[in-house]
Amino acid sequence: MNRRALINWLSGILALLFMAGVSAAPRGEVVVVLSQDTDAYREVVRAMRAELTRQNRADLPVRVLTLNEFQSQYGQIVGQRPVLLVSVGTQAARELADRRPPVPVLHTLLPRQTWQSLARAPGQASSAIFLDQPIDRQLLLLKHALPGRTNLGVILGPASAGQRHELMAAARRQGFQLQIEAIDQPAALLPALNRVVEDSQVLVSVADPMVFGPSTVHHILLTTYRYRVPVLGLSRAYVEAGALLAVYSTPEHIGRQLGELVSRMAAGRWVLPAPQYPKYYDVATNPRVAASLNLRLERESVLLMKLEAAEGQR
Amino acid sequence: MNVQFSPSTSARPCLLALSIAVTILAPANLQAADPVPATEDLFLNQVPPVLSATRLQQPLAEAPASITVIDRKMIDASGAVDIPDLFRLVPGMQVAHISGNRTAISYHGLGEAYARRMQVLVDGRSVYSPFFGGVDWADLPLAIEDIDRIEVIRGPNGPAYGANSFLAVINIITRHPAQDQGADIKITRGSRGTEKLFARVGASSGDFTYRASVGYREDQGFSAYRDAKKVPLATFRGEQRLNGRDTLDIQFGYAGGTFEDGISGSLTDPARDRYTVSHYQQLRWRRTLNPTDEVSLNYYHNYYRSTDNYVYSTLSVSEGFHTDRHNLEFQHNFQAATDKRVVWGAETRLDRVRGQTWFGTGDWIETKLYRLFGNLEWRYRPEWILNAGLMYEYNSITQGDFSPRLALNHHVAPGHTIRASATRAYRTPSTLEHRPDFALRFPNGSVVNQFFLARNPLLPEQMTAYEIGYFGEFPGAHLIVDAKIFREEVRRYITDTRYLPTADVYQYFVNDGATDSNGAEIQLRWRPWPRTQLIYSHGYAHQRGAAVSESDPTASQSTTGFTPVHTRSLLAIQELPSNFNVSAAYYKLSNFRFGGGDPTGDFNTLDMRVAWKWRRGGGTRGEIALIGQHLTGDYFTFEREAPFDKRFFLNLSLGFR
Repeated sequence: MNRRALINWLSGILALLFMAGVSAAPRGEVVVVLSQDTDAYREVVRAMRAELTRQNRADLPVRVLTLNEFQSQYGQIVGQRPVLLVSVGTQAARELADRRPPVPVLHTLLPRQTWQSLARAPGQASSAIFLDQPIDRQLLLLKHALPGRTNLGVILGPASAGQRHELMAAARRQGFQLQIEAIDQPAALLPALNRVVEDSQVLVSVADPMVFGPSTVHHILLTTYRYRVPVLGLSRAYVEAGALLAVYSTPEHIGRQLGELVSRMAAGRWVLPAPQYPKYYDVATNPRVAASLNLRLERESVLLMKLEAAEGQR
Repeated sequence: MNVQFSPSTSARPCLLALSIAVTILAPANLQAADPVPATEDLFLNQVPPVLSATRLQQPLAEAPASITVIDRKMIDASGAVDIPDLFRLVPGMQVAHISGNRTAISYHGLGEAYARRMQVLVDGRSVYSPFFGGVDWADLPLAIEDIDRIEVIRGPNGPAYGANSFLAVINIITRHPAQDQGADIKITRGSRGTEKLFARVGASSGDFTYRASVGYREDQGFSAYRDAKKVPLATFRGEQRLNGRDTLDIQFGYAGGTFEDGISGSLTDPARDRYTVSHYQQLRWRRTLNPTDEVSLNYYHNYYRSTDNYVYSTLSVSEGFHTDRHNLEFQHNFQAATDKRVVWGAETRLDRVRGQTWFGTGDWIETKLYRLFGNLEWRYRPEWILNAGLMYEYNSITQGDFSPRLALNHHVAPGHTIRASATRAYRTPSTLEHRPDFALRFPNGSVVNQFFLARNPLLPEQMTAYEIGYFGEFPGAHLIVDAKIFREEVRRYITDTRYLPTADVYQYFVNDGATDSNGAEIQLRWRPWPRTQLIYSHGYAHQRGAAVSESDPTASQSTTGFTPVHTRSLLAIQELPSNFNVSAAYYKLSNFRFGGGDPTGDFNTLDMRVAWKWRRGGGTRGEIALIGQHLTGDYFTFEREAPFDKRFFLNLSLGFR
């Protein structure tokens, strides 16, 4: 028995003992576990609370814990039978998944592929709000922002290799040609990048640290720019660094969606919703890069409106 | 026998190599087996600015000058075998082949065998010679294959491009190492004994990305001359990223040359070989402060040596020379307000030239230069952009001068821009103009024959240029139009004339001439069909003025014949099915004469290229191209003795990515 399993087991025993000793269990809480105690993660909670207030559920008890607090108080927390455990970020998601608590778990603020890789016990109720955008939404944005640019390039790394078929299917559905290069080591990035830009009119970013990590982003942005190929980035930060545009969700967007889900679950019987992509999002563009590439882009607000309208029609 | 399982001495290197290999391979295998998963950090973290304002090319519609861009596609399609061939695509530009191993380039005429009125930069490194003020294109350490694009700023632009930015600026930008990862090989063979080899490898290791290129060029020149050449070259460019905001660009290169010179059987200009060595080192540090602000420090050193020893009658002559340039430049770009961008900087340069026969002394002759420059780009309304620039230059030959520049761009409608500009620029005389003492001397130092001698101090040449331009984009028609009308006034024109009063006749340089050029230029880029591209340029210029005669200081000559009235070029590129590519470049120029040469008369010429590309899995690609040059018959660009005949070249390229 490894150490973690032993701890789980012991805490389970402790929880049972604790529960036995408590005559009336407190009213079910929503327990939120933050991967880190920093602004981005706190913002999810803040936005969730704001949404709960808007939905007249400000009285819903919500307890916010850092990962450390959660780890040290695990037995006690589970013993209080919370109605829902919410993880914010990958680290918290891993911790929750590994502990297999007997409580429904909703993971938020993590990429979809990371959620898919989480350990899942049979019978464990778990769902998620992803942080990345559905590929269809990204393609729709390209359709509206850069009409006529239908040859897209994608570089996949080991963490994103599994998305190949899904990407190709979505591209086919929406009338795009996709050139995919797959790499399995960092040294392969530049050659792959040189190949992919030759025939592509836009490079689509995929969340993969080997491809779009902090040590590679300058290669991606500079090389594509030299070939005058614009980049669809992952976030506003990428756009500010030199990507042409992005559709992205902020912690605030995710928190708001979380608030809605929690409110709806509270109205029912705490049944988890299906795993889902962000409902709220924003569009970022880099007008300097657009001008330099001789591209005419509409304003961010106009593109956002068009994208929302197009998504609504689907 | 004592058998031990310890490595024998001879096996040790093998084991060492193996252990190194294991150490190197192991992490890679680990990474391949266990991918680092994506986390929210990819979406939430800050990203250091990469395409900062200074790394972005300014849209042509917002540039304060008329610019011709020759991109990689045009370079390939033009069928150019050598770099100077490319400049024929620029409206108003002339390329004169003085011999098989010397090419002179000028804009709006006013050229000589040693054309010297342009700034030429390679990645921000000024390569015009401190000796004569022009560029030795034949042994420039730069392979045409390594060029990413060339921007030709048509007109003076001192504040932005520095000293000698007089008639025009040629700004050559080489390919970034990240663009050429892998290996490339190119072999060219063709007429006049042309053999060209090029090989390049590019790789990266951690935050260091680099490429190394080697090349070799050999040909027989013109049939009328002894002008064969053999030029090997090697260059290196590497970029080290120090952290998220600092990068270091390291470049160095070498070219050697063996050039035939002289005339067989001549007593005064005997047949011989001239040898040259050229090398450079460059280090550029850039720090990105934020998406709009950047500082950079650029140091480079150029060295050039020409060895040319022969016997003149019975005298041993050494006509060689050395040149040396050290340059340090600091630049700071920043956003002063939401509507104002500023670039300012300072530069210091030491040019040194040495050549006993040319200067009458074996010592280095130094020219020091200091520059302070600034430019304000003020977008005071979204559709109005004002560029105001000023440069102060102080040099040890002509002292100090201010070069101002003012340009106003107005977007009259989306895609349509009108530009007006006025610029003042100066050109400092080269060392050869400033203090020549070119003579044949007896071993005791007394002069046998004086060819050039300085007489009186020279002033810098002065240029005042006015232009009104239009830049239009017609996306529906896939057409881009760039047109301008201009007036250029050159004063204190420097030319050589003959000193007659003594029996000992020699040439000297003098500020004696004034000439005005008026005209119009247009460039069209049109893509009538998706696989067809037409790039047309037409320059019209009327040069009017007078300069002192080359043979009589009391007589003057008209400058009108120095400049062709019409300069036309058409590059047509057609992509065909099955990876075939056909292109044709047609040039038509009216009569002009470079100083020292013959009037060319009106001429036209046609180059063509047919290429077939293939690609294999695993990143292997190749191309076979057949190039025909000068297909419409004889013409010459400098001396009538050296006409071009039809030339054909076959080249094979292989790439491994």
